[in-house]
Amino acid sequence: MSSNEIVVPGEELAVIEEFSPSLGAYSDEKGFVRSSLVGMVLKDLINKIVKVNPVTTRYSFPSVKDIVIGYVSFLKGEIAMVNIVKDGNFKPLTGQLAGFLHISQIGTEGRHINEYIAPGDLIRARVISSENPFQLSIKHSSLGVILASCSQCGAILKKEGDKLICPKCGNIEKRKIASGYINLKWSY
Amino acid sequence: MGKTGLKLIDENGIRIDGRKPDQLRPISMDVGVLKNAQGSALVSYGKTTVLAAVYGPREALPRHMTLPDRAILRVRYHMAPFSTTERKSPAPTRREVELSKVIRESLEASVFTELYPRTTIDIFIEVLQADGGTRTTSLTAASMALADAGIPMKDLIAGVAVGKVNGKLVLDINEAEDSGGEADMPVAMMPNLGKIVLLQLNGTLTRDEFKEAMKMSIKAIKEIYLIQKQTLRDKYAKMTEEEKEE
Repeated sequence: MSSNEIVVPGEELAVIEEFSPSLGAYSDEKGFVRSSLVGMVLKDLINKIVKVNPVTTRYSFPSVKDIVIGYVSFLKGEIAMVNIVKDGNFKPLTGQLAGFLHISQIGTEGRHINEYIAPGDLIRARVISSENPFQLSIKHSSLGVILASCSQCGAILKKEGDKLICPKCGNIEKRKIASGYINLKWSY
Repeated sequence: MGKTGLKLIDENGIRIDGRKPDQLRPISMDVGVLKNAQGSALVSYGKTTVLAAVYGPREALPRHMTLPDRAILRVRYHMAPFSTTERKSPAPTRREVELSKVIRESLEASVFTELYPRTTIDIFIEVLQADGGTRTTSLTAASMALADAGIPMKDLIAGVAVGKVNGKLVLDINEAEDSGGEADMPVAMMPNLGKIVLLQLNGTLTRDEFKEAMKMSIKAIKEIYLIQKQTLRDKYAKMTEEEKEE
């Protein structure tokens, strides 16, 4: 199935009649399958697929179904723009990426987007397109706002039941709250 | 005699730095030299030393610069003020802006930019020491840095310059041969695909000389490519060993 051979971009792996190129490989116009990465060659003899596993990935680029963490930068019409800063395990990305969240990907339709999220909220979302800006979805109980601040006084909101309450001014705010909302143990 | 009246090649065909006409300068390469960059490479052809760093694919700002169907490459070729014998002003010169463009266009031929729409891949090339052939050294370094960053590309790029001094074709010219010679032809190609991605000519060559120069450069590029390949392999073999130990 596999070999421990390290290949570099451009190296010939097979001809197109033998194997189809998968991740990390491509076929040139002459019908040769070549590597496009530095990595180990993996030849799947059953499905006739050849791929190159990169030894390490130095940059992070989310793919479809990945969970990401980001800040809501602004709301506009039915869309919220998100700055994606971390992956699902709170590991920082190599660079900030843009995401957008449409109202149809939040929950029950028909209401205004500011009833679900507000600028400055930290959200956990699922990526549903593989292109920058990434389309996001928070249509799941584990997805949504994981940290928000009060729109009146700026204090970090606390989750009580299904509501967010400001510990400083008592303001109650409505959000699409994720099950993993971070309740800070800190009072004013 | 060259333009400056300097004798750059002696009766025995030995060049000013003791090389034969078809001999490359000693080449050294290293990848992953910078920790903050996603990919980096340090390449030297003799005294010419170039450092290349790759950042990305990342969000490009302002966003209107990006393209909806592919990533854009932003290349900055820059010569350090201390790279030449006389201090070079650190401001980008006309020449540096042009070389940035030429190098970018060469790299665009090899990188699969369509995999990362609406993003940018930034490549910073810093010439630390200049002794002729900086653009070809830069291309070799940039291509290695891209490979180190794990950005998918069709092939590695290797480059070399062929020049004409005292009426004779010489490979991998240095500064003295560049300024005192009659012609300078940088060539860069993707060795596996056999495609030329950069070809410039400063001065004049006859048809036969051009053919001969191309032959010389292709042969040299294949030699350089082997060094590139070995450098990348060694680096990653070492990395996988370290992983196993952990």
